[in-house]
This record gives sequence, structure tokens and C-alpha cells, in this order.
Amino acid sequence: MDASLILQLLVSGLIVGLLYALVAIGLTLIWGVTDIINFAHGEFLVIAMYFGFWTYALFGWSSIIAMPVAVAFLAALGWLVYRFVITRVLKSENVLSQIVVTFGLSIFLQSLFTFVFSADYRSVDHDPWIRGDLQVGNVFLSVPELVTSILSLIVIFAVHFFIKNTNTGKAIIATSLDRETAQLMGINTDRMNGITFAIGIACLGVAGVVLPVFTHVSPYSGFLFGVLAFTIVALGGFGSIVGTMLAGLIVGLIQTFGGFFIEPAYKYLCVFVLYLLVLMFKPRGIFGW
Amino acid sequence: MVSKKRLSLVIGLIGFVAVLGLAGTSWAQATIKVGGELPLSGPTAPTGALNKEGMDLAVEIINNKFPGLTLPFAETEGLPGLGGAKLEMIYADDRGDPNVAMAEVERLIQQEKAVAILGGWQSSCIKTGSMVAERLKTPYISGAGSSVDLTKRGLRYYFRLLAHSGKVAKAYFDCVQDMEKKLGKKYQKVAVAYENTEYGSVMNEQIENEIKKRGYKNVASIPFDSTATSVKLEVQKIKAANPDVFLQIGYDPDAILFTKTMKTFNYTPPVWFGMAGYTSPKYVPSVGKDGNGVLVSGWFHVGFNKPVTQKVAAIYKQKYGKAMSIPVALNFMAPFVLADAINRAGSTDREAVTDALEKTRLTEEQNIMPGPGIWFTPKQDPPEHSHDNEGVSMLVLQIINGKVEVVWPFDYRTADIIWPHPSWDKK
Amino acid sequence: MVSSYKQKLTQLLLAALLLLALVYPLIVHSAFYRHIMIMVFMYGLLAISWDLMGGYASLFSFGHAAFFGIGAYTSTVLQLHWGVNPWLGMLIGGCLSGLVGVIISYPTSRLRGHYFAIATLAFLFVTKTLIENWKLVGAAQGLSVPMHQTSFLSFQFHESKVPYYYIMLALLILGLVFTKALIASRVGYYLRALRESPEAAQSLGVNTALYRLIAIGVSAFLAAVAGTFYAQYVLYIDPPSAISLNLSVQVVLIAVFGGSGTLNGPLLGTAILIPLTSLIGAWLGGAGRGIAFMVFGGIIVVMCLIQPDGLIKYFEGRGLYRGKESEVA
Repeated sequence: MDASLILQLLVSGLIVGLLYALVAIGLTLIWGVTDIINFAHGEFLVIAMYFGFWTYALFGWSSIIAMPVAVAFLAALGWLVYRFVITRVLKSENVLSQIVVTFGLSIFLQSLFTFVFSADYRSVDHDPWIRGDLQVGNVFLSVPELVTSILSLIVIFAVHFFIKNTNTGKAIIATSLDRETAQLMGINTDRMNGITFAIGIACLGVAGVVLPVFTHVSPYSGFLFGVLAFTIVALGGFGSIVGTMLAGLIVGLIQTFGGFFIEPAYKYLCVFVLYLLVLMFKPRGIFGW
Repeated sequence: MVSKKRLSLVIGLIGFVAVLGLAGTSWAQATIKVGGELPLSGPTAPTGALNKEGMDLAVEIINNKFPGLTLPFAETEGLPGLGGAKLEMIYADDRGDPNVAMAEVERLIQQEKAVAILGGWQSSCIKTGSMVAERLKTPYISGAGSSVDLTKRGLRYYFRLLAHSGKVAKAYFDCVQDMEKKLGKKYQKVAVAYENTEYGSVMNEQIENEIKKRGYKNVASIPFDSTATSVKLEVQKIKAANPDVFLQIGYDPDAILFTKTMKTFNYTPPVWFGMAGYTSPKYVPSVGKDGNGVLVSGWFHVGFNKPVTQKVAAIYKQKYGKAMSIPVALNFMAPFVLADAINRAGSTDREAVTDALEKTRLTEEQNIMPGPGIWFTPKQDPPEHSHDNEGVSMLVLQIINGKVEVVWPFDYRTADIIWPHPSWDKK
Repeated sequence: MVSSYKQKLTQLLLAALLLLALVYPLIVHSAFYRHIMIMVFMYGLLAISWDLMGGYASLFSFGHAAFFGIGAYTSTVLQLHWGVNPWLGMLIGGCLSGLVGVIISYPTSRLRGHYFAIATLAFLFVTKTLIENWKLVGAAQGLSVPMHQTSFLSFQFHESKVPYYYIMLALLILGLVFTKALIASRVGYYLRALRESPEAAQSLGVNTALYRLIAIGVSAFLAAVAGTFYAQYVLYIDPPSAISLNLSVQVVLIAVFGGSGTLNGPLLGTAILIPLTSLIGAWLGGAGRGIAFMVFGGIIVVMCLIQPDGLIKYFEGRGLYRGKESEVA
């Protein structure tokens, strides 16, 4: 067992963990503030992935150029989904239908992708700017995944900063802590919900756009990311950005180390078994409140 | 004044001729409905479309005159033993889903009244589709479907044209041992990464059999999810195991993913065998020169220099504007085998056709695939390889300068083999 | 308040449907349309079993396909390796599934709805991966049920689907009758009390955990029964088909669409959505699958927006308790 192997696994685990963390941040924000679990979260990630692919396939853009467009598009989409779908189920106060509506949305989106894009696997094979492989000592990684991780880290910190230090961000925190009091204090909680949704989905724009460069996208790619995101949020405790990021990194590491030392086919199994175990002893998650 | 007797005689005669004529023409214009089960939507839809092209071309050759072509019924229009009756393909989409395959085959047999079923691409779909056909006592001929389990079931109505996975594994290791002789080397360690559904895991078993038989050492046997977004862990484990021979068994997306990931880790084994995904039309455009040097077992290659194969490849090129690929060729022979059986049986009765299928004997010139011909192992007890095509054999192909070439058996080669596998910067 | 007129109407409707179901195969001879009805019955049983757990015990399971798979695999493995009759295998599979359900739920049933749902997803995933890597149960290659001559005893019929049709219908009716009896009994009484007002129920000393476990056990049992039927119907099972997330999600969505917490609602939902998606998929051929499920997903979303209590609300005026989900000890 040599040190370079451990180092390689560490680096791989952190890289994928940061990606997961970014995907999960959006989810935890939405969950913490609106009390809605967006079970279609994975599918919005897939929208970002298709964005990255089609701007390359049709215009030859590097995925990095597509990113701001994707972010703007997804932010708008998130806000629209909130406005026209989520507000109604929130009013009905029926928990089951709140869960089910986003599941229905997820199935709808998956089928939409199949219908419009076909079920083929797509990847960005020759991105003009984001490409190449790096070797640092005995650690190997590819440039696209490094880029994604760095961007994820930046965005996570940006969101955290925004939430903690801006007025809007503080209003969002207030809404998530106690909705009625926030309303009494004059905060437009409905607007806060909408903004949160927009931010949460927009994060996926950053996470997803470069993915097709080092992996592939298909209509069903969202499922695994979605389930992992839910697990991370539940592990990290809903609403806690720091908790979610740490949980994301932990999941990335477990997946990598568990997958290598037990069996690559069991890499996700390790994550889920751990999740179920944590649940038994700490139902609110490791850092939950 | 015509007498009543005369009149009735004339009317009778006219009627008799009319009936004869009608019967004659109705027989001559009778079509034999044949069901085709393929994935026409879903992840393997492009391959399904190619399969369909192969079957359509075969039916066209059977139904029309193609003088000079040595395939069965190419010289005639339709089946001479049935008054020139022609085949009509009716396709159903199994969507790559075994449940749908089941329902669709049933529909083809019971609603569309298909005489037999041809096709299937994924082993799991062929499994359920042929099971239904067996229950409904209808012949099912598949040109694809590599799983050993398919013929292990010992079914009466199922026939397989494809070289089964045992033959594929054998070809890999025959090739390795031929090269060992040529180079005076002896390899020891073998590693396998296989996609973890039916197809991959059965192939892995066959490879393990060959490893044991020939005295090699299995240093890693790694199942993976072919829909996975990352194979980093798998590649790391293979690299750590340091095999002499590495076999990667999967589909299109993971072939590309493995190639990219192995490049990231700057790793190439001395011998790298792939399967199926590496000869897909997407592979070379996606990975460019990184794909050079990979060896792939091939059921077929358009450069395969048998005269009848070259003639058919030219016809296909003219009709579809592209080179004939493996999915086209695999199910191409199925309509011929069926037509031959129906013709010998002299009817479309399913029992007679099935009996005739068991006695199939097509020669090397009558068939475009590699191997001495097409004939089926009898149904036997224990039912290992019941109705498997004994006359078929495998090729080993290699990607050289972005093109797929035949490199083994050496006699059939279209290019010299590159061995060992080149490093990334030398590709 | 439920008007007795509406109640009588519902019962009349059910009786008429039953009669129609009984004579359907005599009128309709196409295997394809019979297959659709068989799927309606199978999903119906699944939806009812889900509703017991989700609509009554408020445990929203998205992993029901795992129980389905346990049933299918248990009866098939017992048949393959030890020659156990599939009917017996069905009972054993049901009991095993119920046991698994109880064991898994013991630690997790205290979770809030959302957390529980995610935990069931994890459970589904774990089950599927374990089976995929376990040689005894066929791993990824799946298992073929050994073929026998058509007979009731061997639970296989080859020439016609009609016996399968009546068997699944009978299983559905049995499941429905049993579940309704359970709901009407003391167990159901406490479950409903728990649902309507958890605090009151607890303060009265109702053993909430016990009744929930009973609901889970029965729910898992019924789902496993459906699984065995499927194995005998298709004669081949593998992890993607028997332990599928698609199945799990569809069951929930269908039940909620029809109206959870009512037992009739899920049946209604099944009767509408299953034929709808099958027919759209068949008519439109290749592209049809995408469109069929777009319609499916779209209908679900719309139903959640305009009538969260489900379609049955229009018939019965009764639905899942509307109120904020509260903490459960």
C-alpha cells in the first residue's frame, strides 16, 4: 500500500466530492427554505449537461462559454417552476403530493429528453479549451474534472457568502428558520422561495455544463446524481450549506476508497449503506439541526 | 340454340380455369409474413436500424433476381418451392426491454400471424422473445445474442447463427497463443473488466474458462455498470493488477469512457482486447487516434475477402451509401436460413419448418460470414449449445490508423497486426 | 361527510367493473389487450399494497420494487434449486418480504416523510446491487424459470394468457378484500386515528410503532405476491426488470394520482394510467415510449396541482387527511 495510491484516491475522491457538493447545495437550499425536496434535481442537472453538449455540437463552443448562458437559463427555469408548480402544491399542504409532483416532473423531463434528444449517449469529445490530462507526481487527473471541481468550490463559497452577508441572503435564512416571523418582519417569503429555487437550480448550470467533456449524458443520467444528492443533503442536514459541502466530500471519499478497496461495482453501495447506518443513529443527519 | 348441357359444361370449364388461375395467382402472389424483433428505439436504436437494413437487403435479394450471387434464392424471385412466394418482414420495436420484447413477439405471432421470428439484438430481449416463441411453437432465429445461456435452455424452436461467447473467448486466446508462438514469448496475467448485465457476465465466465484451460492467471475480474459516468476506479484497479492481457467487455459508451480514462492514467497494457463497443461507428470519431491498437473480436468485417461477401458489401454500399458493418451482417443471413428451410419443407407449417431448420446445411459460398458454412448442433442432452451454429468462426480485428482491419486469422488479414499495444504518445 | 348516494354509486360502479373484468377475456381475444389488463391487475395489487403503507401508515415508500423483487426471486430460486412449488414459493416469498420490510422499517419508520422516502430509495439501490453480485440468485444474468407443461400446479400456461388473467384478478381481489378488512379492523382504526391526529392518538397510548409495522409487513407481503406472479408470467427475471426504480416510482405516482389513503383511489389510478401509457406506447411505436411517459409525468404533475387528493376525490369526497405532517416520535 503506497502513499501515492492513497494520494490518488484522495484527490479523485475530493474532485468528485466537490462536484456532488455543488449539486447538493442547490438541493439543500431549496429544501431548507421551501421545505420541498426537488426530486427532479437530477433532471435539471441533465438540462445543463445537454446545454454543454449541444452548444458544442451545433456551434463548436467550449463548454466554459456555455456556462453563463446555462446558468441564466436554469435560474429562469427554476424561478418559473417555483412560480407555476411549487406554489400550488405548497398551498395544498399535502405532503405526499409535494413529493410526488417533483417525481412526476422528473419522469416528464426524462421522457422529454428521450423524445427530443433520443436515448443515445452524448459526449463532448474535442472541447476546444477544456481538455488534456495532468500528471502531478504519481497522481493522475483530467483537466475537465479539475476545472469542474475548482468552479464548484468557487460557487459554493460564493453562495455561502451571499447567504451570510447580503440582505437578501439574510432574508432567506430568516425565511428558512421561521416563516411566520419572517413574514411579520415584512419579508416577502414567497419571493424568497422563488429566489432560492432560482439559485438552487442555477448552481446546476455550473456543475453540469462541463460534465459531458469527461463523461457522457443521456436522458437517464440524472437519476444517480439525484439520489446521491438527496443522500448527501440528508447526511449533511438540510439547510446547512457547510454541512452539505462536508457531506459531499465525505460521500466522494467513501465512494472512491470503498470502491477501490472493496469492489468498484460496490462504490455507490458503500455510500448508501453508510447513509442507512447514519440514519439509524442520527436521523437528522451528521450536522443536522 | 345452345343446349343446357353444353352451357353448363362451358360454365364449368370457365369456372375451373378461373379457380385454377386464381389459385395459381394467389399462390404466386402469396407473401410469407416474417416477424422481425429489433430495438428500434432506446440506447441501441442506431444498431437496431442497421440490423433492419441487413434483413431488408436479404429479403430484397430473396424476393428479386440477383444473377451471379451465390446466396440461396438470389437467382430467383421468391421461393421456387412455394410458387415464387415472397417474404414480407413485419418489424416490432422491443426498445431494448425484455418485457417489451415478450409482448411484441407475441403480437407478431398471434396478431400479425408471422410464420417465424428473426432478430433481436440484446441477449436479454432475445431470451424473453424466444421464450414466447417457444411457448407458441414458432421458430425464432437470431443472428445476434452472444450469451451462452440462450442455447443452454435446449429449446426446440430457437436457432442461433452467431458464434457463441465460448467461440469468442476461444478466438481471443487462440490469437494470443499464435502471437506467443510468433514472438517466442509466454504471457501470464490476464485481467477482465466486464459490464455487469447478462451479456458481460456470461462473456466473463467464458474467458475465465479459457484462462483456466490454458494455464494463465486471472489477476482481476471487475464488473462495472455500463451506464456509469466514471470508470476511474476500475481503471485504477486494472493498472494496479498489471496484467499482460486486458479484456474490456462492454458496450459503446464504456468503450469510449475506458479509452479516455486509461489515457488520463497514462496506462496501456501490452495486449488490449475490446469487444463490440470498439467497432461501433461512434468509437473512432470520439477518441480519434487514441483508439489505435485496440484488438476487437469481430463476427464480421466488410474487408473479409470471400467473393460472395464482397459482392454483397458492394450492393449494400450502393443502396445505403456506407460500408457494411457488423450489425448489418449479423442478421443478414437469418432470412436466408429461414427461406431455405421453408423451401425445403415445402410449406409454412411451423413444425415442418422447424424440422427443416434442424437439417440446414448451407455452404461456405452460400453465406457471407466467416466459417465453413451454416449448420446447427442438434438439440442434445445435456442441452449445451443446442441449435448453435457450428459452421461459424470468429475474426480478430484491430483499429489501425483510425480504420478497422482484419488481423487474425493471419490468412484472412487485411493488415499486419500491431503488437504489443502502443503507448499513448506513439499512437 | 360522505353521502350515501355517492357511496352506493361507488359500490355499484365497483360491481359493474368486476363483472366486466370477469367477462373481458371472453370478449377480447387479442393477447396484447389481455396483457394490458393483466398488467392493470398486477399494478393494481402493487398500488393497493403501497397505499396501505403510504396512504394509511404515512410511510411513503419509493422502494416498493424491492419487495416485488424479493417475491419474484424467492419463488424462482426455491423452484430452481430445491424444486419448491411456485405457489408455496409465493407464500414463502411473501413472508420473507414482509420480514425484510419490518426489519428495514424498524429503524427508519421514525423518520419524517421526506427522509423516509429517500431511505427507501437507498434500500432499493442496495437490494438491487446485492442481487446483481450474488451468484446464487443469478447475479446480473438473471434467472430463467424452468419450463414445464401448462398446468395450474406448476403455475405456467403457454398457449393462452387467460389463466394468467383470472389468477391475477383473483389475487387482486383477495388482496383488496384482505386489505379492506384490515383497514376496517382495529389495526386500521388505529392507523386512521394516527393519520388524522397523531398527537391525540399518542396521548391515548396507542402503540403507533406496532400498527405501522403490521401495515408494512402486509404491504411488503402483497407486493411480493405480485412479484412471484410476474416471474411465472414472464418466466425470466433479472435485476433491471424485477427490482426496477421505474416500477417503484410508477406505483407511487399511480396510487397518488388515483387518490392515496383510500384503496379505491389507487385502483382507479391504475385502471386509467396503465392502459393509457401502454396504448400510447404501442400506437406511436419507437418514439412512443418517450411520449407515453411524457403524458404520464405531465398528468401526474397536473393532478398534483389541481387535485392533490387524487382523482377519487371526485367520486367519494374522501381523501388523505389534509394537514401539515407533524413530528412522529
